Amino acid sequence: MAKVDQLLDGDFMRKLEQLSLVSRKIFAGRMKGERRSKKRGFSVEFADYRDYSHGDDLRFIDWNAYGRLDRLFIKLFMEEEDLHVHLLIDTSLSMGFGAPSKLEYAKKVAAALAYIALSGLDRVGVYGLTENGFLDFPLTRGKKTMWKMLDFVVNLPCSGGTSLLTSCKRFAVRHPGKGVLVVLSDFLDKEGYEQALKYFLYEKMDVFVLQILAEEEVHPTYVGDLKLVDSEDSDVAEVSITASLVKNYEKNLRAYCGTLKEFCTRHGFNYLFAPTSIPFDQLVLNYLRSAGLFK
Amino acid sequence: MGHFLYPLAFVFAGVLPLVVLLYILKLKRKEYVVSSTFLWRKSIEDLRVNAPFQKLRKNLMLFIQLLLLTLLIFAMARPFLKMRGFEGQTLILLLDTSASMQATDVAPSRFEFARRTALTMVDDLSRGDKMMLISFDAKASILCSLTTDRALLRATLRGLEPKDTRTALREALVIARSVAQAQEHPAIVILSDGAFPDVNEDAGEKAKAHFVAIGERCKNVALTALEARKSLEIGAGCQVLARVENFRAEPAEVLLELSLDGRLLDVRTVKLGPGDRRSEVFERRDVVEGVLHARINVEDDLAVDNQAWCVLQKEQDIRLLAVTEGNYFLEKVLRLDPAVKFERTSPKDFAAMPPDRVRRYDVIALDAVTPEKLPDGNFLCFNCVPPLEGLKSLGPASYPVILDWKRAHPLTRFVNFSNLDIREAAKLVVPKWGEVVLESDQTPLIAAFSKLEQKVVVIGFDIYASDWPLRLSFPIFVSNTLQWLSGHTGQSSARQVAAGDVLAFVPDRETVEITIVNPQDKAVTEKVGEQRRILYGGTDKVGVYRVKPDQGAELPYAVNLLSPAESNLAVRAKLTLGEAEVTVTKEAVVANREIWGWLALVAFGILMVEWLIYHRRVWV
Repeated sequence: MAKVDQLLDGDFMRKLEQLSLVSRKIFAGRMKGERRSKKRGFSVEFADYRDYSHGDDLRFIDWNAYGRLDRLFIKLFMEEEDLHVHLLIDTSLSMGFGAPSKLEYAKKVAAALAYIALSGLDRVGVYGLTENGFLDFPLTRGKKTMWKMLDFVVNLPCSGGTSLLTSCKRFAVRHPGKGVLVVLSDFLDKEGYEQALKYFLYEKMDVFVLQILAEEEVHPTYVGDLKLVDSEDSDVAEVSITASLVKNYEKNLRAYCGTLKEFCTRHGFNYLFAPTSIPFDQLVLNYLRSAGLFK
Repeated sequence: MGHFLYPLAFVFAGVLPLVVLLYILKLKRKEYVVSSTFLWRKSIEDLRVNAPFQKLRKNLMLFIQLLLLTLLIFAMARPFLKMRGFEGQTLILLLDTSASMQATDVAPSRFEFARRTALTMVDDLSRGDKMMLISFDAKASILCSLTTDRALLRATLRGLEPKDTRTALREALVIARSVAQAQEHPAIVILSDGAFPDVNEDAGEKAKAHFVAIGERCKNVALTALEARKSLEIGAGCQVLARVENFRAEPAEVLLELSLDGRLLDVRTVKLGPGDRRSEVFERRDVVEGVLHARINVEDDLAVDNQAWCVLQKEQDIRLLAVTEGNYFLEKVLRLDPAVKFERTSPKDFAAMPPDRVRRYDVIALDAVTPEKLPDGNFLCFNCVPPLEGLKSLGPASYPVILDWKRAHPLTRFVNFSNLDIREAAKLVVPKWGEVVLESDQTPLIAAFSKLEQKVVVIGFDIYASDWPLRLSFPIFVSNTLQWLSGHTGQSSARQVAAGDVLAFVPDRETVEITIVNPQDKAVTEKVGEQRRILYGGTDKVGVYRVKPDQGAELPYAVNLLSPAESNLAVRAKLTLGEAEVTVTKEAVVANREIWGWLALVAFGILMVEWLIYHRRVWV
């Protein structure tokens, strides 16, 4: 449980409490634990009337209205459904960089989102994407599962390479249907991210793409003649760090992020650039809210 | 051959491959694990495309280090360049300021050329090199003691003017040598035209001497002598002798003008062959006193020797008192000169004569009379030993044989003693302050004594005990003696001083101060001290100097160059100082200058650049 403590230190817990309060505010005045669905159907909450047509369920005829108006009306209710929140965390070796590491940052964000979602009585599932699939904490509901979920999140190992395509494909196959999907990754995948993200498109999910990058990746501070070794495939790049090289690297990084963002926008995904320099709670409360992850 | 003083240092070139090796070893890059190399890879490729010199740039540090090391090795090998300037860290510059340096064969003048050369040498001084300036003409003077202050050296050189004097290198050389003894790597440089006699002094063992010969040709006609004297033949008037000398290689025709106090007396055309000299004699009955000015009209390179002055004094009466019992030959010879006012008295009367009366006579001739005490005045003593300090007689000497006489002494002008026979003479002991004029194998025969106010000539034998009265030398000697004793010479030489020499003047008792006005009308006033002797050294320019006592009449003095050595503008081809022959150059000498300091400085600069690049390349 040491790792849980490490992640969920006092500071973090205090921030989670704040988030919980904030989320309570968000959901105040609404039916607890449930979200409105765009579908009108059978529910407690009345939505509208419509004329009876042949074949309608007689149980929903408003007989009082018929008495007064001598017309048959069908009562329409808001359909209530469980919201499925899927939190996908990239656990490849590349996520282990940075101080704090990107993975740790992703875990914190995921934990916070899970906490908020659980507080909202949504169904939450957490998935650790690995090289050839994913580790999952299947959809659960209720705050009582919070600790178990946190334990899962904390113990997600950092290993292997990135293969977004494989893991996303498997996830999509296993989890059809609608819901909110949050992908937490650095998207530094040599195979590309486009194919992988397109799987979510077919599922008509509400997709949030969070690109997490460490500070040393955004603004490298290396000096001298270096042999850069890739953490995942041990690829070697020999560089002599010069100002122009660093400048060029930063330009490339910006271009890369820009392309990802453009891809997301084109496909109706929400893209968010999340360098680890932004405190995670701020990210959750300000940025994700403004992006419409929750109201 | 061999532009390095220490070529062995090139052994260190073996270190160069070591640097390359170290650099290769250094290039084993530090491994650094990053999350993903793919952005880096992309960036490197971009940069490679953009910068084809990337590879070269990677090796820039290696090149810089190799260059640095190469420079240091070169510096260690102590390379030198052949550069203008003199070797040595201490330069002692001897600059000729004599009359011949005014020659204009080297435009604008030899002196100006020497000055410019000296200024160039000041400019060529390396940092920390010292220089000393000594000028030499008739005398040497230290203008600047050893200094590194170039501004001072330049200012001193610019303020220097040539003089109209002879050249005396010896004194300057002695100073330079003594200074050089105490210095590290001294060099003595003589900037001169070499118009001076050979010097029997060397530059010392330590110093290296250089002689920069200035001058191109010898195109000069000069007046080398001007003298006037009372005419011997015609009784009144004077004879003027002027000598014109042609130093050119081609014949010359010059106009010789003679004027008295500004009035032209005579003009003669003098024709001279190459190297000829010709004496012209002017005889003038009407010229008795005044300042004679001789001038030659000629276009040549040196102007200062084209004129000369001569002061002609009016002949004055000589009041003479002969103290004798009767001496036929003596009286005859003393009366010979019409200017001599002759009086005679007996020894008894002379002994009783009061001193102020004795002082009225210019000369007192004593004939075999020895007074107990010599009163003030000038004495000519025949056959007696006057009571002078240190003068003694040791008894008679028989048949002394004439050995020699002082030919340069005024008393012996035109006198030949060689046919004089003497039977008996006194054996004289002449003290050091006296001067032996005529010397025999046994004893001095004639001696001259000169104190401040008293002149005495002692003739130590009886003229009757010799054949002297029958010889031609007798009247001439007596005439010379009377003129010397009385100070009234018919010669112009008494008021003639060579430029640069000291003008000595003994004023009267009454004179308190005198003023000396030079040819440029600049006056110097001097107080007459205890010694009652005025010594004036400012005779740098030729011309007439006027000495004005506060009492009495103005006395002109002629200051002339009249030096054939100075007027001969031929450039010296070799210079021997003592035993050693000094190399002669036309320009400032080419010397070896070590440049390792510069190399080290450049290496240091490169080190700085390397440091800068190493640190800056992260940002540049």
